[in-house]
Amino acid sequence: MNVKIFQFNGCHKCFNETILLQKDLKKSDIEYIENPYDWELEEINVAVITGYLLPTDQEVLKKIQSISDRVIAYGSCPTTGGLYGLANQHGHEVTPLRNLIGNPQELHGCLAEIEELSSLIQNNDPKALKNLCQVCKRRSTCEFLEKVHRQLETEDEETCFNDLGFLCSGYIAKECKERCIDYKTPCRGCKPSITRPGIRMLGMFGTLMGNIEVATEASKYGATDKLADEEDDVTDSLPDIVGNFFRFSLPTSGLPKGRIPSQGNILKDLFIGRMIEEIPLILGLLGGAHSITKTLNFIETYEKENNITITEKIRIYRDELKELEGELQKAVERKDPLKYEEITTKIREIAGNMNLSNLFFGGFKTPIRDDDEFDEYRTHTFEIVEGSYKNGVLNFDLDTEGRIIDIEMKEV
Amino acid sequence: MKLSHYQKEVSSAMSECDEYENVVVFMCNECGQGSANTAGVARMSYDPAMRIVRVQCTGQVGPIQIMDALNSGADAVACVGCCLGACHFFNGNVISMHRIKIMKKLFKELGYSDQFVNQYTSRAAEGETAVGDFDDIIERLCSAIQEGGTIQNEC
Amino acid sequence: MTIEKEKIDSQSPQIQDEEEKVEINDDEERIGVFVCHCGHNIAGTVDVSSVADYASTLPNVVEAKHYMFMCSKPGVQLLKDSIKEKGVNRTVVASCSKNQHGRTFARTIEEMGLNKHRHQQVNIREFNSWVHQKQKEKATQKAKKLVEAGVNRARKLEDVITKKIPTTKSALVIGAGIAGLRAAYDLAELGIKVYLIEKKSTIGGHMTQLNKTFPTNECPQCSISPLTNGVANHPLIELYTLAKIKKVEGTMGNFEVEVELKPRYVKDNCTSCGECSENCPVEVPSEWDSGMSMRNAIYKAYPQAIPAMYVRDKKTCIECNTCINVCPVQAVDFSMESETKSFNVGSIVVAAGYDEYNPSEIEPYHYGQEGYEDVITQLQLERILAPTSLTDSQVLRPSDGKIPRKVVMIQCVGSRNEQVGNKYCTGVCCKFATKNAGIIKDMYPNTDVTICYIDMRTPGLNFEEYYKEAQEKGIRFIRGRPSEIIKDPISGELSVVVEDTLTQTPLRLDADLIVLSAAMVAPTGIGPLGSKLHVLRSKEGFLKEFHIKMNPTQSSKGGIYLAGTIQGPKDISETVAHAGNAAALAAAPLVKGYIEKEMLIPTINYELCVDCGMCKTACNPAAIDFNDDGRPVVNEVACRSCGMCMPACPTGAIQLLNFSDDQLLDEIVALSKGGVICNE
Repeated sequence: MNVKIFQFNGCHKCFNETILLQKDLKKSDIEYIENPYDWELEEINVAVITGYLLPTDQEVLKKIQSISDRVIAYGSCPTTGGLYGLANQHGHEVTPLRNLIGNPQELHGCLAEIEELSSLIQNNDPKALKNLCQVCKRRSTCEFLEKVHRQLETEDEETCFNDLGFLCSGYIAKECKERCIDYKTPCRGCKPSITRPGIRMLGMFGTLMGNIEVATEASKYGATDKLADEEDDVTDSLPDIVGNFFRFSLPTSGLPKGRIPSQGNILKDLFIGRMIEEIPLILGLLGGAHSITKTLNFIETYEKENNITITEKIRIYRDELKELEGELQKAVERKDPLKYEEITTKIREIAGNMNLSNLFFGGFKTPIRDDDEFDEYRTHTFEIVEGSYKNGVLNFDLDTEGRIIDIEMKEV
Repeated sequence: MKLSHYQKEVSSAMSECDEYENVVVFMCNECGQGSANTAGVARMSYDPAMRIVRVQCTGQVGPIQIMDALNSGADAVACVGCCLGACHFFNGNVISMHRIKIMKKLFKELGYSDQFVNQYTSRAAEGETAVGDFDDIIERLCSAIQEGGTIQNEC
Repeated sequence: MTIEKEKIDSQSPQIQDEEEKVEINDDEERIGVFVCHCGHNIAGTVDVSSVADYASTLPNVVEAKHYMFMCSKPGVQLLKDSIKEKGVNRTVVASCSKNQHGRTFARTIEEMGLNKHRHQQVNIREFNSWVHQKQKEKATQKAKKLVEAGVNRARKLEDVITKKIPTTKSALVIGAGIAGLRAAYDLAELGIKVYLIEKKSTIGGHMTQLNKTFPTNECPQCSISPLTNGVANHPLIELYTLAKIKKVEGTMGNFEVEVELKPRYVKDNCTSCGECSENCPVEVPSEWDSGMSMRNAIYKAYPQAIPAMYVRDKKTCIECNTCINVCPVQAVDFSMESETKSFNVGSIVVAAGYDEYNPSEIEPYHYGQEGYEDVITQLQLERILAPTSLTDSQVLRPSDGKIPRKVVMIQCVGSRNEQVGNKYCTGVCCKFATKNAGIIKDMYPNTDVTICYIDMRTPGLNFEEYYKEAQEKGIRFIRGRPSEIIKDPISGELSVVVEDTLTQTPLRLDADLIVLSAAMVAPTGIGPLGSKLHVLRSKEGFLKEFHIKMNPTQSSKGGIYLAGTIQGPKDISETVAHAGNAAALAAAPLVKGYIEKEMLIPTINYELCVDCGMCKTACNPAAIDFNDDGRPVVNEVACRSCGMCMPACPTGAIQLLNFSDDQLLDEIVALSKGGVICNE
């Protein structure tokens, strides 16, 4: 058995996760290739592709395919486009593996589950996955919405996020290990259970918004009513449709390629237009080696400018997370699966999951330890304040609706 | 008076742009189809690019159908339902408007004109309402094409 | 060939087989396409033979013909022949609209043994030749695309069966005001068993409270009593007062209803002698009299009340047991308990009426406040004027019992007022204010009567005359909405502050009696009733009709009908007409004995379904609900085939038969082909 793991573009999160393959496979069978343009050509049994892909990668991917028995796309980026696919809004050409080479095997998820990969490599029967809603304890009320919310302010833990006016893509997602929904963070559907999940969700949420006033006007000819083009409660409720409905699937959504002028860099392009309250999760998802630092950096910059005070307890937990990140980096460099697992378990304990779903402005969303006093680090509902935020390493500007209009990230 | 007024305007709009071939119009089984039939009976005239699809109610038309049409080559898509408050299925036309409103914003977010998709109402007994809607679709499509080309040209 | 010849052909008798049905081979889709010339109507613009030629090249098309008049006998014979000879199992006729001749062809193939839903009508006349007469080339191209779309659509058409659902020949009428009485009586006269339930202790509703009815100033008691008596004595009507709907289950044709009957504490043997009431020590304001007189804790709302029985009000009763002791027939029984009754009914008529708007919400009018007893509503004025009133029909003001010399009426109290949330015009207040003003003026010619209005709205036969008559009587009409009612702190006199908007003069009108023309609003408790019935409400709170023009008496749910003011403000004539229509519609399926329903309903793919309930949210006729396993199921009788559940479903699990995403896509692709296909 000869398994080669290729990291193409973007964050190394899924690539790093494959360190855990060593638990099930022989270490000598696995080879990690961080630069797919520079490796020794030899027969491959299983080629695992991680990271986002561009049409320019096609040549090398075809080469990999030609010498491999099997090619597996691992993670959201090579399967549905992933987070980096959002940059297609600005004309980038992030594309899934299946558009570049024949029919690869696919494992969705951001982070994709290592157990599934391991079982796929070993040709074991895949685990039957339920829909996320079937494992969620929240239930729908079957009422049209009066209002869409941007932040979960209620303590209600029984009603479906969508029925609380808070978009959740759990309907189209499979159950997963990361389970953002457990940390008061609605699902954004990185593990879709159907094709064209974004478009379907749009139909569903649009219907659900049925009680929200939509603007109409008299049409010019024939004098009938038509849907008005002006801003109304419906559009105001959804400041970022692309980012929320198509977060992981823009390149495979069937939507035309975006024509918003690029800001030059793919990372910048994928952040521009996103809503402030979604940034911690997005940064947590793709920070790669420095996701924790970058996420906390962002949160803290915002907190400082808006005088959101945090408690000592929050400080302690955050420091702990930063420390863990350093250790995780060392484990990755040493390709040490046991250490990697130990540290990620600790990170999950505080941050909820590897997507850092539990982190938020002003604290944490859910209790970290049962014996803790949750009020010491609970989430504050925060005001969305437009303006320029700068801390030297990370600078960003927000518009009046709390969308990122410019962002500058320097490597830590 | 009204009729000649918009016929004149349309012909000017049509001469400005001819880069479209098909416009898929979902018309509900009630007022939508009714008004288009009335327009036919009255021998009114509109752009032959109009392709009418009969649906039960505009509430039945989802983003899936709209994207299907655009992806398979339609230059624009519109829904035509009953008058507001007169939907034969209570509020299908309004619910459809919500979804199309979101589609419009989505197109804007992607850097396209929001005039490729629209929703109208019509009155079964008045053919001019359907023709007026069709003319409006073409005018808006032309403005969208002038703004940045058709959707298909870009990909 | 000439048109003349065709016409003769179409008239000549055809030799037909008795049994035309043929064996249908369903191994593959075999589509027959028929393009109609419609004389010159289509062929004059569209090159029909090239359209037929094009159709013959399309996959699965085994027959493609064009003919002068497809709807003629030889035309439909072409369809029959193709089914017989070519084994066609799906037909596409490109001719006129579905409404015009779609049914003709559907019936034809049905005669041949094919399900009628296998016919696909393509409209190349109204949608093409007639509207593109000057663009023949483009019209022909378009016709080809339309035919291709029709063929694509026909390919996947599925059979739709029609089910006969037997109905229960009985009806429930909720509310026994004028609308409910009318509906109940009309239903019973059609031979239908009617359960009429009323939440109050007597029937007749608001109409019995009125003094006179416009425009004839007739006595409402006299008008309504034949109906109240008729209903009370009708062998097919079971009347239940003090009743409340507990539960409604089932669908059109077959409902199960549970009704809670509150105890009357007076048994059926009550002779209505009144001994109990006379001896009762408790006195409280009478609801029926709008608080204009007092009643006892055991009482009868008014002498002519039906049922002619007394009722004990448990809330105000002090349980002195006097009534039990004085009753000559031992009818009073405090131990009675509420009971639940169940009925099986086929139709439900909701006639729950309206409430008079409570003006105390409008602070500047001080209605109901101490010291403002002379600010009353029109319904209270009706009770003062009524023949059975405490004042002996004299207009005496409530504060001191004097005859008012200056009466001011204020229109649009609670109507056309966005501040209180009611944008609508009640539509009857102008009429009843004119009526009451006229009555007062007739009784007391020296009394000044003023009506402050925003717009006088007296449309319809007789009403303009009625308004003119009032003007001639000397009633003063001031255009302006009064801003407030002021009470002089020393004299205690009331006055109305209003700007006459016609002369732009601010006025202060002194008034001995102020009458507020309060709006009709949806009755209290309609929310819970609506949700028990699963019917939708309009934003004004009334129950929403199915279609504002075409189905004003049908609710959003099949089998439930709306009668009278529960659907929106109405006057008595409108209410009676509305109720009669509701009764007719409610009776139809019951008299017929069954409902014929095409099973054009959505199906749910339970593998894809995630039980989110969005289809239930979107389903206006409440045809989708969760079963005991928490999975959504479609009620085939209640479904109205609108397809609104489809886009609501986040996984595409629910698909309307013959209108599925897949089937629509096939049609869309044919219509829009020609552009560059973007993405997958």
